[in-house]
Amino acid sequence: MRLGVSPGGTVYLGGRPFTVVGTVSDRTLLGGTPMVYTTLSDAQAIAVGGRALITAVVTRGSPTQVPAGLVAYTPDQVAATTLDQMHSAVSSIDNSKWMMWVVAAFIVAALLYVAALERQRDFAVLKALGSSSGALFFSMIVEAVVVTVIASVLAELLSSFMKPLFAQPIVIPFSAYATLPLIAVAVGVLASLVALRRATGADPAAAFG
Amino acid sequence: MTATLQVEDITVEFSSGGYVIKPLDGIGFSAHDGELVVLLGPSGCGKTTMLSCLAGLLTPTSGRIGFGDQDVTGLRGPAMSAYRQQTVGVVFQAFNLIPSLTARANVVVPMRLAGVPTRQARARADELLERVNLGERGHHRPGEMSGGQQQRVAIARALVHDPPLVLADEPTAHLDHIQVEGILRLIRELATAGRIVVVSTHDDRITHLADRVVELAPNFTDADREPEAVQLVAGEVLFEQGDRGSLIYAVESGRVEVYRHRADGTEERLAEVGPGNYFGELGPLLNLPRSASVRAVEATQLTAYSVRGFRRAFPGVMPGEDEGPLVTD
Repeated sequence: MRLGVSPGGTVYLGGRPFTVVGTVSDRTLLGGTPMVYTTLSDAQAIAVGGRALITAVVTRGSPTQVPAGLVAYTPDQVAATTLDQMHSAVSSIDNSKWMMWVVAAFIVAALLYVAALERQRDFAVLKALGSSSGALFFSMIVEAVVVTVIASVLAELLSSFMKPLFAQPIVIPFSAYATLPLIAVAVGVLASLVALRRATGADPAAAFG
Repeated sequence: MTATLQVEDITVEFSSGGYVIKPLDGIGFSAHDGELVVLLGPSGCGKTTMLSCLAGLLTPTSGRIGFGDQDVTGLRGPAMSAYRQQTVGVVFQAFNLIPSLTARANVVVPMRLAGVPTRQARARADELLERVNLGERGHHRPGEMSGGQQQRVAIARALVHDPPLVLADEPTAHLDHIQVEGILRLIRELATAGRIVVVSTHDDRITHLADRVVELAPNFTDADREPEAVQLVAGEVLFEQGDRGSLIYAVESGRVEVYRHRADGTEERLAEVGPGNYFGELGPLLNLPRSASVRAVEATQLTAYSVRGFRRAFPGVMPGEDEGPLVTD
């Protein structure tokens, strides 16, 4: 219950008390504003001071004639018109999403780079013991994959826990749970290329130093 | 496989700080199956450089290393990687274990990176840790082990591919005398049929265990001989930078110039030495190669002294056994 009401309870709209007779779900406007269904007269009383005004007429089927001053919209056009007001908000969220991918890539790159830097001597030793650059390269790739898979699983768990905390209904498509680790692995591997260069470039002779 | 090691006229030259450095200059020796070879010499004499060449980690400027039927100095790319992996086992002075891994994992890692299946690698690691008497310590991390135990793990790690050539760089340098005994016994035991063990050290006590000792820097400080006159004509070179020499020279007449070879092929003039002055004392005294070359500017007469002879001829210039530290240039 986004409004926190249940049948039999009272809700105040425009300063007037109304008794709740039923509830609906997944009906919000503008990214989270709850919708309330009332009789036409109550709605007119609340919104336009009781005057006989309407802003929309819903019909079954397509009207053959539209009265002067009204425009006919199909359900798709209504949805598009309504969502158009959300365009800026959706675009901001999309931009934030890309920015967070870039930040995540930097974090993974920095993490693996520092790890590679700290283990430069270990890499030199392993090469001196006969490990090939390819084997070390592969081991670093595995590390990048493990780090990013763990991070994406944690992110998915966290999102599940946090979903109910938002006022707006949050819908995460199932495909996102599958694609997130894949994209994360790709980003992580790309981000780890600098670290990989460090690992494979270690001079085995340095192990004697 | 019967192991034989042939090191022929190995010279390593590189530039450092703009100067040409020659840590190894025409070194050669050979070793046969089952032998323990000790490379003996002070710090800076090229022991580690020689081990790096033997391990295939450094390509010498000239000379040849042969192991069995392999020309090590001629190996490149995958053949060299295979040589490092299958033929050589290395034990490092500072153990070089990976601190975050257990002893067992440290032994397993090189095998896993070489593609050995996990189960097989673990079984082999357990067998090797047992062999170095650390069977019960496999789950301990290096930080929880003594220096001697860490070196044992490093030895086990060096043996994972059962290499016919084991190289140990100052393996006892960081150990106390009790631990030294255990490690030396273990190293001696490794030198059996099918394997050659080469140990570098500055500790001549180890030589008693060796089948063969290669002195990379002969000790000149105890050498004694009568002073002898040396005549140089103008332009004649007395010795070259990187040479090893036992003599200290005093200029009687004429002049010599002291210069260094720079990596770019040019020379850097350091000093000109005239009558009453001497040069070349630090190399023989410290067992170091000559740090510069010397050439006569004009016809020059020198007197060459051994270290002991120089001390007698120039008392107070160079510290004796019971005197203070060296204060000459």
